[in-house]
Amino acid sequence: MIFVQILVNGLVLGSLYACIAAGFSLVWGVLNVINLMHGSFIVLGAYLALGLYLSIGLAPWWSLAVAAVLFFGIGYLIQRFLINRVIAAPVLLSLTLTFGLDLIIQNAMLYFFKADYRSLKLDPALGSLAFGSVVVPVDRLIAMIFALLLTLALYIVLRKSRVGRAIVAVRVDQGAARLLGVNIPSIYAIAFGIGTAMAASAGTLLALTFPIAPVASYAFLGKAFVVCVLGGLGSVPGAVLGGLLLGLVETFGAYALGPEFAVMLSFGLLILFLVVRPQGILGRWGFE
Amino acid sequence: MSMLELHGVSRSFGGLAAVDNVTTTFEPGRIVGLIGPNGAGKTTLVNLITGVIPLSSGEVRFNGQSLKRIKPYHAAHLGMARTFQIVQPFNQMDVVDNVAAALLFSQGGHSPASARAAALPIIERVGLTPSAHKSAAALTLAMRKRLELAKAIAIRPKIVFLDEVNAGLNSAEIDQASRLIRELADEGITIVLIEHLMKVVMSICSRVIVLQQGRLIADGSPQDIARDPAVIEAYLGKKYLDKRQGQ
Amino acid sequence: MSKYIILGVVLVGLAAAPLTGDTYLMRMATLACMYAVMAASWNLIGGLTGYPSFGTAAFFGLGAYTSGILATLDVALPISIAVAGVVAFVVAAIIGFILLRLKGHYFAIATLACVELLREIANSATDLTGGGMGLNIPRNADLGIFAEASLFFFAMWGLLALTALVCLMVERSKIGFALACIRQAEGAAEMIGVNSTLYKTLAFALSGVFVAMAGGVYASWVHYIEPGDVFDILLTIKPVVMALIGGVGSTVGAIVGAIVYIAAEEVIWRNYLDFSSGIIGLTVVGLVLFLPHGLGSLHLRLRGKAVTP
Repeated sequence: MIFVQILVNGLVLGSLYACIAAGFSLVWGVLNVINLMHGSFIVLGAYLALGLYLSIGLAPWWSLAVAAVLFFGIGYLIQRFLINRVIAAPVLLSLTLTFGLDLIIQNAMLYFFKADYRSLKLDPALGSLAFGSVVVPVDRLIAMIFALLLTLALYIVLRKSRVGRAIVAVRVDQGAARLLGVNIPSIYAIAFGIGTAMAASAGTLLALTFPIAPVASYAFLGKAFVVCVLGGLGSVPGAVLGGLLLGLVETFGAYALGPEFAVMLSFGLLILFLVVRPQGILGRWGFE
Repeated sequence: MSMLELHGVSRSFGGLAAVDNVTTTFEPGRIVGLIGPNGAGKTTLVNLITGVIPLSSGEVRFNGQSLKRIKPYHAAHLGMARTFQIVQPFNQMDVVDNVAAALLFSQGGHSPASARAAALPIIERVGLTPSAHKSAAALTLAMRKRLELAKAIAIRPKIVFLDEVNAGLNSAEIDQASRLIRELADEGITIVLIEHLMKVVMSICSRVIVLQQGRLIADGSPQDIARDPAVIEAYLGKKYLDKRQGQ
Repeated sequence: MSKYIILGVVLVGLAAAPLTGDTYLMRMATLACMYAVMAASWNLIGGLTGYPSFGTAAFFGLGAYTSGILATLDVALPISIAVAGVVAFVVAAIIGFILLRLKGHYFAIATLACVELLREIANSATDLTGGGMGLNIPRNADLGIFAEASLFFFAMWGLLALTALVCLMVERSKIGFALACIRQAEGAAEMIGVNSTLYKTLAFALSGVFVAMAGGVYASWVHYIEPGDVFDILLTIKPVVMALIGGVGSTVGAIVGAIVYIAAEEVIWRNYLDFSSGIIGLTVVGLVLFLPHGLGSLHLRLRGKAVTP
């Protein structure tokens, strides 16, 4: 029966990973930009949830909406005025740019929030649910449900809305999209804004599950990378598949080999996929 | 034994046969036109012969030697040159360095300095001497095509595959290119011309091969090909063929 | 010609540091030499060949641990550093052979993942590396402070001179020509006879050798290393920024960029400690947006001229 418990743990973790990675994957797939600030935006979202909970008692799943709107705007502006200037240049430049921006965000976080780890403890605590011999903490369960809903919302936006379909068109064939009258810089900014919004929203959910500190952003960024490579770029189903796979690999790996091997396993998997199947399980071969 | 032999050369992507069981030979000093509708597999065939992509089945023999899984650089060393449909010069180098690179890496015995010196006569031959020290990025399209040709010549090839070398050129430039091609053929180099311009094909090719949907459907003199029903159908459709045949 | 003059000035200038007798200045100069080695090495694969490697820290850590472990086994410093270089060459050649078929972002991430992977391995192989508790490297108790500082300064300085020599030779040689062709049009390069796999792998292997040797010198210099120190992401990013400052594609540029960066970082760190990383971030952003071709293009930019790459 421990197998089922680990399986459930893996799926819960995996859903969170999927949500973390979905926005990152979108930006990478559509703009061909690896946003090294992604992890920091997740942490900022977590801080926002923490702050709102401590000040006005707003539960994390509601501050999700605040985070989404606020960070969409921030992301949109960053792309429109900064990243857009190097979008056509070699990838080295956009990587270095987002790295530099991330240094600034990190410094700001360290200055305002300090380096120590904080956690969001709900009061009254929500306890756990038991399904037979399988135990799941309620807050994690809610986080998982919202993570999946958020990811589903992204999927629906990309499939059904006009803007979403324009974004997908740009991802698939930029030249054709331009000929059809799609305003590429505008789409880029919107897509980036969505990516940032997804990150911050995921962060509000993660606040319940993981301890928050500025330095945690690198761990989240690392997870996002692995999920994207596993699942394929620019596709939400890919992010879900990759996220679940990573969650399961990590929980089973930690059980079988010990927790310290979980990280090694995830990077080993990353390299393996990059060499053998860079386009991921689902994704078609995207940009170089 | 011919210079280049193709035996059942095939390549599939997924379930789709891009090149399907092509068997033919090439002799020295001929100018061969390789024509066919868009998507017929002409460029893919050249990619297969020069090692850019591996064969799914079949065999390529060059001077009697079977080429198994060669890499493009090896093809260059053996004496196979090709130009690209979309020209790819080394944009940050000047014309001399571009041609010197081809000399330096296709055969031994050169240093960067000696290669640069040896590049000059080749540049003269294609008529680019006035632009020898210009950056490749600053050249016009016609000049860039001549640069590609110069690099192909520098390899001292036995066979050259020219992929749409006339695309984007005006009449005078096309005539110039054709003259150069004829000169090369006279020196014993086989030229395979992937071409859409029938005027060029008819005037300088002594033999024409036609591909359609990856298959070789016709092989003969330009005049024969122009009258071949299979070719007409491939280009203009069955309806037109039926009309012409008085159906 | 002028780049050799600049290099000469730089090397002579750095060599003057011990003359001041100021061990703090010597420490700065040693660090500058170390980063200059890393930036020039990165330039081989990232600048000349056009493959953006984020694996510098992997080689640094590999060298630090290889040399450090040998030092604990009483191997003399020159030998342990040389061995670190050879090991890195071989490892880099193997990794490169596998990873260099990737391009752009994929290559960058793969090399970054190598850094992470090696760090985790160092963390876990406690018997060999001391794991998370770190590795203590014995120091020569006979040396005084100044003598020790001089020893390690000249070790780094010598390594820099060697690295610069090799990198400049590569730039001028047939190898450098091939790398330039690969960078500009890899498919076309292959078609004129460039065995791109061979040359790329060679460049990548070379980019690892001197970095590993620098790691080896570093390990003995600081006497104690931990996986997190030597497999640090910043060690991988800083050389890239330094090469950007000096103009990507130029060995001398990378070296000058390293010195400029180290000097600036020191000034910022001293005066604005709390905001140092933020200021560095701001500088990086400014650099990428306004001077992507390095400080050398500043005079062109100010006059509103176009910069040809």
